[in-house]
Amino acid sequence: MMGKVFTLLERHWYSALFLVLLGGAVAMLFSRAEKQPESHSLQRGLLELSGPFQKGMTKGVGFFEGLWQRYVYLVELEDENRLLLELIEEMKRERIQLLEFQGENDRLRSLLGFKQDFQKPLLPAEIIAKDLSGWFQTAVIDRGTRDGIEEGMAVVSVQGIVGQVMESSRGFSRVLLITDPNNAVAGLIQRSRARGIVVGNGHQLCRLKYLHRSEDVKTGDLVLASGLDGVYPKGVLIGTILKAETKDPELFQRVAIKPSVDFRRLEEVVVLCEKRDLEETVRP
Amino acid sequence: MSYVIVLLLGVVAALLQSTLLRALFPQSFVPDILLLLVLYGSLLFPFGKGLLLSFALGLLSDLFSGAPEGLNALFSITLFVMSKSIQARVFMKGFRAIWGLTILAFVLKVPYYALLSVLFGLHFPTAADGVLIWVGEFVSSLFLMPVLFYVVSKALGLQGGWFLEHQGSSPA
Repeated sequence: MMGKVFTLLERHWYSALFLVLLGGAVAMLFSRAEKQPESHSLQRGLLELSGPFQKGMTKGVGFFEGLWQRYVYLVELEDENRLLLELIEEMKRERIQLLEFQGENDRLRSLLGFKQDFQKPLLPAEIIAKDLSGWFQTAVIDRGTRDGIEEGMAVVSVQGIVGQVMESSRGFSRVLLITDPNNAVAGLIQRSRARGIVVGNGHQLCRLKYLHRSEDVKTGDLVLASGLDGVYPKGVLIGTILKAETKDPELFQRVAIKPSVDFRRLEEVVVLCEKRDLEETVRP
Repeated sequence: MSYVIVLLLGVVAALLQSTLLRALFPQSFVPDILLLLVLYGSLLFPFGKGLLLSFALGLLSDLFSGAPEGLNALFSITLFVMSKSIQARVFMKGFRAIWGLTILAFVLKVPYYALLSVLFGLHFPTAADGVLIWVGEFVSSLFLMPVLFYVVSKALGLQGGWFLEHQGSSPA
């Protein structure tokens, strides 16, 4: 019996090899689809191995970019300097106003008996690489499990929400950006408080899904995280409404969002090192 | 040995693509270097080792892009087998052969991703957005192809350079 099997394998070893590899690939896809934790081990291993090289290359690119910007691209520096000085003045005025608002907010919160949001440990990180293809929107950061990073933690920048950690090795992590179609953020429109789900379109923009056709939405409205997904803290900026349209038989509006984060130029991010869960997020 | 060289070239290409090339080129103008290496391998190498190399390159692509493991590995071995079966029926050589295979690969990519999204629930960009990514990837791959093949040919020490006569100069 075994002899026959070996003879058959010897005669059709090409097909056997193809079937083994095909089965392996399909098994990997199934294990990933069912979110088995061991399915990430290969990714983690490669992340750890390739991370130092990617970090070195990105530093090199940054060095040459810096050289270009400092020594070659000085032509518009004077205009830029003037604009920045004006911007500083404006921000000073805004800061004073904001301090006033914060004081007022604190007083009102204590009056209403709201609990203050606990401070989460923030971990700064640098983006050292991006994904290979345009089909998946991910980035690699130079922080990993030894820094306290876990899968599912939110990643933000000064501009707004960046994404969430999808896998971590000891020293590096891969972040799924909000522009990826596999990422979803519970969002709300700041002006009208209308809620929806923000998903990436895989191409630098996002969409606000499940926004009823009767909801009030205008171009330029700010979209914030509603906090209901248990990943991103409430109130963090996601982006601005680029376009909203209602097609007649459809129940929901088609809303395009321009993320506030410029992912092409993003270099530094902050990881919120405390996983949130739904009970913490949703207040009665 | 030549298989290892192509695999190492794949690793270097993936490292460069995830860092330097992403900084230099627009977001959607990203060539699929590892897929081009798979196609090139199907013309250069015999079935057994070529198939293993295709699987390794596909897996490398999955690991570097954050895609589910197996997604590109499955596509790479399927393409390799298709390319070999075409070569068994049609005489293929030179630059035109790899050009034709590249077009075939990119045409097949669309139904493949559609099938995966149905079978495994993976989310890909919608048709309107996906077409921009697809066109960017396809055009940039076509542009990069001659350069990549020149580099691979030189690395493997093959004769012919840009218009390599693949079938007459397969490495041992």
